[in-house]
Amino acid sequence: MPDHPRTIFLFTLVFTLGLAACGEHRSNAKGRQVIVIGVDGMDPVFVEKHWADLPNLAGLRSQGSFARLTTTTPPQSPTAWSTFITGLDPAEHGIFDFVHRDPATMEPFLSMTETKDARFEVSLGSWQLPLSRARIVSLRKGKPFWQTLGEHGIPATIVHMPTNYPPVESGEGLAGMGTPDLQGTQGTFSYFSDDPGETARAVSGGAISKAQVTGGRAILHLEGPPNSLRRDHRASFADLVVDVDPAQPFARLTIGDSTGIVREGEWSDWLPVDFPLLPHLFSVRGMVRVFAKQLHPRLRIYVSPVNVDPDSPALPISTPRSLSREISRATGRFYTLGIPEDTSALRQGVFDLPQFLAQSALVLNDEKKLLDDSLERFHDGLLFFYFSSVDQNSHILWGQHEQELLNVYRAVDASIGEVRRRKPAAELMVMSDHGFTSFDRSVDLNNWLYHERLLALSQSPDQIDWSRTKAYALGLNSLYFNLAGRERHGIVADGSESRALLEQIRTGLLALRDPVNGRAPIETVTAVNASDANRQVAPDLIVGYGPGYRGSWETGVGAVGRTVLDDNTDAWIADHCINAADVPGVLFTSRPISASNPAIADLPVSILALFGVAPEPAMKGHSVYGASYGAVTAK
Amino acid sequence: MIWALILVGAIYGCAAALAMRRFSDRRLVRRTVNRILAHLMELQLFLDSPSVVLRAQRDLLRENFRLLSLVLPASLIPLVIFVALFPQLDAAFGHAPLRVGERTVVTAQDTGALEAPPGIVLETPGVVDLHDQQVSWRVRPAGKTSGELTLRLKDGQVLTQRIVAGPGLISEWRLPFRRPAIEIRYPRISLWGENWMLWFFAASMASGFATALGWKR
Repeated sequence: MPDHPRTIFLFTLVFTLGLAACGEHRSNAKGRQVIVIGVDGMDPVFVEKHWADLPNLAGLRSQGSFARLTTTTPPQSPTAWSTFITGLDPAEHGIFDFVHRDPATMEPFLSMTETKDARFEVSLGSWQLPLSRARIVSLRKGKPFWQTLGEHGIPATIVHMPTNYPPVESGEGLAGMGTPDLQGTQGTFSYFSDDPGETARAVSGGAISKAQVTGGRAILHLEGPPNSLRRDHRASFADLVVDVDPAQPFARLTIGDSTGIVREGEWSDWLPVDFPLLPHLFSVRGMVRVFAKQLHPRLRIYVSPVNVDPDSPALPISTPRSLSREISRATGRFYTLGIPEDTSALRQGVFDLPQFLAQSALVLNDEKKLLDDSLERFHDGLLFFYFSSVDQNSHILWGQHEQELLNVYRAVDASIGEVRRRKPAAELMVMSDHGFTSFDRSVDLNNWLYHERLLALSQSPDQIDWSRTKAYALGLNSLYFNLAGRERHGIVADGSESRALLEQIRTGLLALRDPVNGRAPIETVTAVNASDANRQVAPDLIVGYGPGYRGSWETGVGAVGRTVLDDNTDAWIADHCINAADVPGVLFTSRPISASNPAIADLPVSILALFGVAPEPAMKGHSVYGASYGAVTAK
Repeated sequence: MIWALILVGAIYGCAAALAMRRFSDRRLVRRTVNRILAHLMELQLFLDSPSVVLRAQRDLLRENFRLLSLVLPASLIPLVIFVALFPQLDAAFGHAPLRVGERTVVTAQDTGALEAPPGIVLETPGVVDLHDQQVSWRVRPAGKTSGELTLRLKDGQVLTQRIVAGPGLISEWRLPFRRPAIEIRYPRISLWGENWMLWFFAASMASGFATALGWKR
């Protein structure tokens, strides 16, 4: 008798474990494999010019199809990828730009995510102890298409999908563009130098600090996350100790328990680093890569933005949360920052071009490593995999370093070949969110509005006088009315006055001519009809620049530049934030398509169709494979 | 691996309980515990009498110190065992062998020529740290291997240290409080997301209490 309950218990345990094991492999995909490779910024014109160098893409074109892919307005990555994810247009998913502005404060904020502080906290002197967790929420609206697949029992693995941070809790995957570094930024590098000619200063995308070498040792204070346990949220720091060999171009790096050795001109491996929040009790783990730019006679050390360590993630970078650790243990640590290529370091003169290309190659190497691991894990259902390298390299190389850019395209093409070799039965789709063009001249919309007397400046320089301002620009394509009832100091009435203002701005911008070459810098001005849910954040107008032009850096942050039109002298020489018709993306498929003019909103519908799943009612697109392919089933 | 650690922890717990039984005066311990309980009751019963409560608190403190002094000699034995075991357990359960292809740093306190066993690639010359008077090398395991790193000092002395790479355990005899001649940075690992000590002490406490309960019956 006493044995009876034990037998029942053991039987129940084995049965439950068996069910759990079966549950893990439950799939309605019936062995069907669909692989989507997203290549940010792959340009159709560049591809068409280099078919001979891109044999795998050329093979896909001849076997299946190749088309230019109509992108979103504006053709910005967060906007276009949000449309790819949800099948909605920007007016509905609510992502119009990298930055939006809060009409209550007129301050810019990152459009993709919001961090909500802990609801309950206890204050003890200068300390503030949270009693509940802070939350990071995605600001993108709409339902991701792989969530629909999941509801039909079709597994999905989504690796580095842009604007998918925190990652949707459906299927499994790693977060992509929008994932911050530990400082909460989109990437802030640190650069240390003992050269007296270099001054310590904060620059866009980084911080330059002085280093002091004493007895062969320099202790570099590395800035980490804001200390959320302190009331003032001051930054936490960790010390990077650099011991420079007196005779050879080598140095030993030590941060806490992590050590590495680098030669001058070499990159270290990932070095895990703990930033203490509550000394000896609580710390936050991140990781950095160090580049020994110079060791003798001067010390010049670059430290990457502090990435979330996938082996011990401080932020939600994967679904399920344990996945990043599993991958890290299988492949080694990898970049987790949303945009890992450090173009800021190049733009600030910390990197020269070869150094930037070397850093970019590290990122591409990580992407290949992750693709290899993803293919290893993938059995059936959907695999989405994203490459950032083409986009970030195009911004720097386009039109001036063709061979170097072609090398990046070749590397991605080789990966596509690898996918075809390892998963020959899979339906394959290769797509990009937009193309590229040169960025020769910048347009400062706020300066133009100022000259049109639609924007006024106050006594202190560069401060906008909201009481006399009718319109303002913030972001690379967005223009807003200073609307009464929406903006904090709004003066434009919604209705006939705003409609007249719209026409005045549209006519003026389209009539603008560049005195240098007589060209029209602006091709389109599109009014936005946002859904109710997005009315507060949506711009009123989207400005579509002509090829060669783009919004100025000042416009991007809502400031007022010195001139309306100016030469672009930055290392960032190409862009895509222009008129959408000028920068279509690409679409390659292993199965021929019937659509003559496919658009990015068609892709989620097409992927669902490949599994015979009906699109969500709100989705705007149509299957590129036509109605004949993919018997659509109701949920 | 965790089961091996739990087994070691359980044996350690039994041994600790045995040491307590053998080397402490159980009669005196029992009497002291009873006194502590009595003073606790006193606190509960005479809450309305401050002078009694104060006296009870004083006596409670005194009896606690007495209890500590009674069990301290006996608890030194498991403590010494743990100190001796710690380096071996930390090597085996707190660190993993080097991963193939993953680079690490080895550091010696003396200058000399380092030789690596087959399967371990020496990637850099010795890098001198003037500050701490150390020399470090970067090494990379090319495959699964286990062999001796050899450091030949200028005075002819030869120092060796075992290096392990690939799947498995680091099992080697290490003396407590003694820095190895050649320090190897093995990657830290956790067991089911926690430090090995948590599982070790959980297992030893469970087995220690179970042993003590067994004696009572």
